[in-house]
Amino acid sequence: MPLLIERIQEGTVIDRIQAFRGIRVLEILHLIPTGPNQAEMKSRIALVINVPSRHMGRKDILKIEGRELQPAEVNKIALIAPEARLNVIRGGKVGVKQDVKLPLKLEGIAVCPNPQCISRVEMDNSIFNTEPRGLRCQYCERLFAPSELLV
Amino acid sequence: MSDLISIRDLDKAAIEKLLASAEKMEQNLFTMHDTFKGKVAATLFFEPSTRTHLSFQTAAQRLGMSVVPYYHASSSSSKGESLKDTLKIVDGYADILVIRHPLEGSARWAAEVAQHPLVNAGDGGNQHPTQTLIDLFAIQKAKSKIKGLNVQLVGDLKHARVMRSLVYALGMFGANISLAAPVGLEMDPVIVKETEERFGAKISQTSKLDLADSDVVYVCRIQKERFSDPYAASKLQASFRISPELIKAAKEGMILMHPLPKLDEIPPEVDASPHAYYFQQARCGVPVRMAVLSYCMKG
Repeated sequence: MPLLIERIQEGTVIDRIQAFRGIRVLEILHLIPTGPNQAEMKSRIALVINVPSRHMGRKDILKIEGRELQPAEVNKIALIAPEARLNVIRGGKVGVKQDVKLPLKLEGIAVCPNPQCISRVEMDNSIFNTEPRGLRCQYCERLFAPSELLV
Repeated sequence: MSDLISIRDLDKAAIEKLLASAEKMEQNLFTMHDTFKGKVAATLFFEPSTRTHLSFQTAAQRLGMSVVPYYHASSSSSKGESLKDTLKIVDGYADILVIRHPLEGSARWAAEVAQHPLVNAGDGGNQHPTQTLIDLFAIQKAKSKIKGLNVQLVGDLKHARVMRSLVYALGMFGANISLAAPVGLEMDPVIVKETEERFGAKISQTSKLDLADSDVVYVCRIQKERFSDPYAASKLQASFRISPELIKAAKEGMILMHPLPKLDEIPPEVDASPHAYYFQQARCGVPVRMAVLSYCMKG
């Protein structure tokens, strides 16, 4: 029996998220409010995990009702969901369709793989700058392939 | 006011300006004491140091500053105080901070915490930018140029932060670089490739010592403190020794450099050789660090 998720009229669909990474995408995009802000939340969010996909084998899909996410905002997930596609839905139709790409600066998304890096010991943040040959930790200055970062 | 965190933050023009300033400092070493009169420099050393710490203190005093030195072993950090708290306190006392810390990236982060200018005096295995400036200054002083010189970097190229900073700067200045390291202690290929691609530098690599073609041979010790097995470190050290016999093959005018402290890698007999240049190199520390402090204070 197919699992049916209602179409949204206005909002955002993030498709092609690597299977089982949808929850991390929710965290990175801060889509779930905390504390008293939860009572203020108007939009509905659907996360479908482990959906069969011709393109990827298995994938996650995220639907956010009533909120248009901007590409710059969604690009933050490129590290953990490099094949993700942003679809902005307007009047029940896809208005904007765009693949995510790594932003110039990734802040607070991944942990530096270098155990001697200050960001692993004294800080509660990390910053990586995108360069042609990889991602460079702003602190220890080491260059990593996106797949090497701890997410 | 500026920070000096990494040699990667400086372009060639900025380095040349610092080297020119260091030359002026050297010529006026004893007459600069009114430059920053009344200012205070704090030197925070969380790792052992002799030359770097003393030359920074001397440089600050030659510029008229008072110095408040901080020693990790006798401080509240040894009681468990966080680095951030220590920095915030010292930042409230001093006009400029000089920091050495074992964690990589510590200086960059410390500069974000501190409001006053900050100088990196070594952050773990990452960078030692003022040592690199000293090395460039010393090479230029001996050879009147850097471009086109055959510079050989020898020793533990994997762990030595001095080498990470230096190879980048030598590439920037157009030296022909060769790297000689024991197997397993080669320089991170990412740094080699980046230096080649960014500056079009020519970099060759070997695991055998041969000084014949070099204008400059720059040796660093095996970084025993970064090894889990000290015996393995000692064995590697013995295999990469600049002996008096080896140095006979060097061409006339070759200069032998070392950031010091030197251990077995250069035996004391070599000190008398006309090639030995490391003590003159070390003396460049004060004028270069005067130039750095001045650059950071003035921005």
